[in-house]
Amino acid sequence: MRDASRGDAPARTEDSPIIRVLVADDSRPFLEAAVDVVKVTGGFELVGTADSGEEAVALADSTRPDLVLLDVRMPGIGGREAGSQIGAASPQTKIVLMTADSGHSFVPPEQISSRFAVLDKRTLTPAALSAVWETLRAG
Amino acid sequence: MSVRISDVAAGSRGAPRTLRLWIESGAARYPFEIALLAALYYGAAKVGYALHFAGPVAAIVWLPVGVGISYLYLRGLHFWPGVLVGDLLANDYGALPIGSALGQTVGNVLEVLLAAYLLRRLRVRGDLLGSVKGVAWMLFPFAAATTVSATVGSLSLRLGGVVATDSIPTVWRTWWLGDACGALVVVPLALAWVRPLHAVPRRRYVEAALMIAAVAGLSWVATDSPRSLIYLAFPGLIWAALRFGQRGATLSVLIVVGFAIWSTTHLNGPFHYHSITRTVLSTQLFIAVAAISALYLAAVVSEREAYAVRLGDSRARMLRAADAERQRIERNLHDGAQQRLLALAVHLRLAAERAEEAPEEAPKLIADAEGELQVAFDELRELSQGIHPTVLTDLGLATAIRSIAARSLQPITLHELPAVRVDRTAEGIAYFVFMEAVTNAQKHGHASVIQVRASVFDHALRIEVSDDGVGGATELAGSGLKGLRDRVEDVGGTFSVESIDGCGTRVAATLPLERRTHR
Repeated sequence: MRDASRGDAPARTEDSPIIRVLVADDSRPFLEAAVDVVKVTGGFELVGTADSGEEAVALADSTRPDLVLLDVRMPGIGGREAGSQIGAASPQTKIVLMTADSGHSFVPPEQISSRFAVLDKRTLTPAALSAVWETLRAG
Repeated sequence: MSVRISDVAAGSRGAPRTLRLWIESGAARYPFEIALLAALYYGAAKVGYALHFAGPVAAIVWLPVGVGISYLYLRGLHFWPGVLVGDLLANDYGALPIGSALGQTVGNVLEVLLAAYLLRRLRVRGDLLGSVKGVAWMLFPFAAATTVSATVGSLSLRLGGVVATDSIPTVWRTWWLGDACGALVVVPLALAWVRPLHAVPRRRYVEAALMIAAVAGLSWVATDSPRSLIYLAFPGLIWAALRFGQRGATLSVLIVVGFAIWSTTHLNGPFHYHSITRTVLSTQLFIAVAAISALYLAAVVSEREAYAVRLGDSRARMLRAADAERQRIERNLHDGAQQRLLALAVHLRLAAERAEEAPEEAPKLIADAEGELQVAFDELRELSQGIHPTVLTDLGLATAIRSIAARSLQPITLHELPAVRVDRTAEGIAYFVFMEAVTNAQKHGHASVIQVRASVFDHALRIEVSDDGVGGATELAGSGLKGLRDRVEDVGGTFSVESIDGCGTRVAATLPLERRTHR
């Protein structure tokens, strides 16, 4: 598995642009971990971090990222609502909802679309990040 | 109102309109109520005279005193002229010299004013009819005020030459008991029935009708027979008090008293003796005993109901508090240790990957991960301390309090700490009382000295925390103090907060200890 993850990034062709990523999580330790993952994943670039849904929406508006990683459970509007707002304002942005709970039954099915993905926080690795991006990009 | 005023100003409607306006404006309210009270008082006196249980000298039951006390208690002492007018009108000037009649009136007005004043003072202690204590307290103003009236009245009669000196004790006793009975019958009746009625189910009306019929029927049998069957009145009173509380008890007492007086004044029934004084005395004692018993029974019923409501509320608050606590713990776990461990998992995976590509980075990544693990461990320990501190479990309340006091920036003076370990629940609650009181004193109270006393005696753990801070602490819903009260009362303890602005705060809790049963 690990081979695949590291193999993916360099395989990216020269013309494919750098994927610009925004990460939002109210938990400092996990935000740092997610940032570390984004930084070491080839072809991905961190454009900003937020610790609330509201901040993520504002940052997405100014930075226009390709991919937003959102913690589902944050104070304020939370990840689901932030994802909807970002999706509405910027249709080309892909959204990944990160959850600490196994399974994602609590994410309403209508939110799981071609622009939304749900990721278990425990499985966040460079390989998983690349894979979820590929899935979302393919639609 | 403004339209009407302009109407009147224009003189379009004339006198009737002006009169109505004057009444509605409230200016007429006081004279109107004086007249109303005088009429009620006079009416009550006339009922007594008409049914021959009240005479120019004394009454078996003097109802006007109850009417006067009730009115002044409920509406205000400033309506006392109503009592004066009513009493002056009710006096039998044909049978009494004017001096005696006026003296009697002075005594009666003072009696009503004194009783109403004392009752109003007692009102701050809570619902008078709703507790055994309240009923007991209520008897004092009655006894004191009727003493004034009986004394002034008998002396007036003696000075007017109406009664002989040697009959003063009898007159005094009859007067005192007659007035006391009047107060005992009427005042509780007024207090119980003045409150708005709640909607009640239809079957309660059926039961009420049956109860009233039973009270009347039993009273009739009890008071009509010359044999001593008077105890038959009590099952009816008990039914009324147990099932219909204060309202049922006071109404039934009125019915029973009515029958008792009727039989006495019509010279039959169990209270009829050859001596008129003895007849009156027996009737009065029966009325007093019946009224007081019914009031106490109704008070016990009210207390039980209030206790059930309080218990239910406390239970609901406890369940909500427990639920909130579970949510707090879940959130703490989710936001703290769980996120920390998730980050750790992500970092370990990264470290594993880096170990292959850049082995020299691995030790640092693993050291970072180990640091995160330590933090997660600390967070978990802190959380479990918040649920039940380890120091409390291992070393007991005294040591836990000492260790907090030693670490406190503000001086905490420990006057007394229990030398023995007691049960875990009591220690835990006492510890939280201590922590909350100390935190409040430091954070909100701006206290410079905090004093703690904790001791075990008489199967109870008592803890008291006092400070010299700003005071003014309140037990608002959702506050820490309210939460403490619930925790303490939930285990059957007592909790008190005394906090006067500028005079510091004293929080005290007494927690009953588990009684260990030896087999």
